[in-house]
Amino acid sequence: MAQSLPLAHAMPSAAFVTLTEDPKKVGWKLFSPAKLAELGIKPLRPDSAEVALGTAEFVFVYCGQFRYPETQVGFVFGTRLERDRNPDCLASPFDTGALHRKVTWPAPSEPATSFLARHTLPVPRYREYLANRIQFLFAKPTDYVALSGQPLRPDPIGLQPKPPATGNDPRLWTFEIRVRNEVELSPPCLEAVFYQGRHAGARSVRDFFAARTGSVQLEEVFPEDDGDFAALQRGCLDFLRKKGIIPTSGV
Amino acid sequence: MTDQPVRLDQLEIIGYADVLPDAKGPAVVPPVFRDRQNHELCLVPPFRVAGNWLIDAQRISWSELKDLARDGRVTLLADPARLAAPEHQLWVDDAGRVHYEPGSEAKQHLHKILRDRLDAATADLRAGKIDEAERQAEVALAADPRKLEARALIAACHALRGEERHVAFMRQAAEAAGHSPEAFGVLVQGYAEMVPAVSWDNLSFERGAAACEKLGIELRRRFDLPADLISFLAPVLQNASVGQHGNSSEVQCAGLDAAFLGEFVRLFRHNYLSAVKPGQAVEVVRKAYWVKKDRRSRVSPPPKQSVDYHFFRLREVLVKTGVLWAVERELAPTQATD
Repeated sequence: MAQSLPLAHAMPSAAFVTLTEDPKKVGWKLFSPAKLAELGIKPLRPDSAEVALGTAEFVFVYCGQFRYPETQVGFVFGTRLERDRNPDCLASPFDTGALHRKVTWPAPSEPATSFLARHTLPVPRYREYLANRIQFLFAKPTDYVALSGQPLRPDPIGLQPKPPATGNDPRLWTFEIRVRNEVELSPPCLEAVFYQGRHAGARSVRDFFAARTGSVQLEEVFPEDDGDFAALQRGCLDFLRKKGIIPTSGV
Repeated sequence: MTDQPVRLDQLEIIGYADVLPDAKGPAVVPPVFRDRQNHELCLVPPFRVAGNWLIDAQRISWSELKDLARDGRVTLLADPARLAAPEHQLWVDDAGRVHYEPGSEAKQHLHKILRDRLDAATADLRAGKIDEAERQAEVALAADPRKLEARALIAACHALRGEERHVAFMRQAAEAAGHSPEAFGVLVQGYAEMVPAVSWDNLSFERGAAACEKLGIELRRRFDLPADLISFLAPVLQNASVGQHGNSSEVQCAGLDAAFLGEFVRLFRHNYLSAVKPGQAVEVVRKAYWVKKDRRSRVSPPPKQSVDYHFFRLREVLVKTGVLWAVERELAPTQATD
């Protein structure tokens, strides 16, 4: 499973519509915060986690599942993205953004940048470590991608959420892959897009989907009582099942 | 480790976990809660609501929430916080107003937006305003993505522009949402045929018809008799002369046989009418229709130079351009009672 898990990135509605409108005529791509600032699309906040940690030049994706909760549209990339962009990629066994004011680590005096450097892994070799962590931390491997899966054992890395947050945030143990500068939203790397029906109300979104019909899996998700984000995550789980990456039941 | 559930009546709503384009819906949005006693504690998705309880919500500080708002991840409400309540839904209307009300009322209001916008869209289609109809249907789709009508109407607008891939996407999305391809096809055809024929030139229509045909949808032009036919034929019959007709862009657009029409106009004017008036154009088509009926058993066309011959030729043109289908539809009931 660890070798096949795809890469996932999600964003809020307006960001997706703006991306498809492509006002700067730069193409349908995900851009790093630094690149977004350089293109004049979105300024880079000096107090942001990316500036503090020196990661502003990267696009962030999670290995295996959507994990950023305030999102409505999700993209799934195949492992080919890692192979094709290998020199541009780095991995960490947690969401690096959390290191900025949201979690503590065992040696409080250690700077966040140093802690991050110690936990930065090469791509795609990080997947060997991912396989070990999945085996060690979870009761069953699919808990790593489940909506409410939690580690069975304490994480040896030792990240602890700062109050008022508690330990149920999967970003503390989901692998983050960082891809330098930009990621094309096109096949063969882009394999699936998850969206809500209302997004197709925007002409630019339909242009984007029309250009991807037949070559990318386009999945409309329908939020239920547990909200938009859970619908995205369920869509991702269905995708993993269809691909045979996780079993068809038990997640 | 799981958080303790929180009573909804301890919470207030201060925003939602999405950022909408232009801050407008319609859209049902996930609420962002704040503890009424402790304003530093905010609760964001993912969570579940069961009765009066909020379960498994993410807990973040007020400063983190403000960071999320600055990053374009959440929207904070400008108006005062609303008390959280069970069975309520937070939604944003098409003017950007935020509503928090019982789920059944929210559903009714969204349904009204859907119906109003669909009505406006079909009125626009009947007036030949395809772009305007599409914009209305886009709002209708956002109001209730589970309904097929708005999807089909948008697809019809794409079809009428010959945008095959867009239609294919809309059909695929409709099927994925559980609608049958047959129902989708029938609706698309119905909406497309609401557009009067005079609203687009023949090339556009042919492009749209081809796009539909590839999707198994038979698109036909709709004529509002007699107004459309007058609009369609009057310029040809009134303004064209033999010499000018060969270069007429109208003739080229309509795909008509310029030489034939030139001859037809000359003979028609000479033999039938001293001057062709707009109101008489439809009579030309009616005549052509009856010539067709009268000649059903004949193998060969009428003798050349006869007026019937020109009507016979006109009929061929009308068949080619789809006009006769509309005439037949219009006249057939009359004929049946004759």
